[in-house]
Amino acid sequence: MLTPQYSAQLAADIYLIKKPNDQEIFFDLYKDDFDIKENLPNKIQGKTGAFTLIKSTHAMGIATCGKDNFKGQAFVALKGTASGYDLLTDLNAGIKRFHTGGSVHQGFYYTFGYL
Amino acid sequence: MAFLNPLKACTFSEMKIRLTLNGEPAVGAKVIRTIDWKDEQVDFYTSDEDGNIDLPAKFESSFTQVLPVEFISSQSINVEYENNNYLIWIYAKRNPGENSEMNGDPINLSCELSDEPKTERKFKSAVKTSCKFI
Repeated sequence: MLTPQYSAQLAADIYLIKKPNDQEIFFDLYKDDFDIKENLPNKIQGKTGAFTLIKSTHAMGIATCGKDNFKGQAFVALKGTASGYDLLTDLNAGIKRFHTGGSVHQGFYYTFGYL
Repeated sequence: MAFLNPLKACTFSEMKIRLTLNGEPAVGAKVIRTIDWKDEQVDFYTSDEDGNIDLPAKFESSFTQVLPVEFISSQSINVEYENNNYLIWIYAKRNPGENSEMNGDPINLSCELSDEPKTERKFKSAVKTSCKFI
């Protein structure tokens, strides 16, 4: 059962996904709950920043299925702002039309376009 | 002091380590410390005749310290001793304060190199280490 406490802990831990060493810790913490493998091949890569040259490509989050206590559940966890590059994405605060018809934050639109 | 320079962050709190291998002091072991906040920085140390080593605190500055940006300093410590490599410490520091982990005191570790690293939640983050906190 996914509790609010578990969700909040995952929201804090997902920042460990960015750096390779910390990914090892994330794997150890969640290997019993998530269908994940070492080196996290199912992590989500993204690109944040602004313009063409001020960009950083790095792991943004994870999409995976649960197992054992969380069997039948799917998890999508994405980290928030953790660098100057991410901050530039936040500041790119125009409105962009998404292909499904809704309006979305322009910076997030471009970041998710890279996922 | 952080309040004098709000851009300053402690990316690695002072750490005192005693290294042993099979109970004997690991004399002259090469210790490789890696810190990755804004970018990766690596420095090297050597243990003394009792296997002791002091890793000084590390500070860096960034404008992101005064902006709503999550702080994460990724740390690792490798030891090279008698032609073997041991990964004894991986930690994501989530608080930019100096010695925030031990309420103002340095981190004191006793590390038996033959022990396997284990991951545990600690310091409002998580650490993977083969060392014991003393």
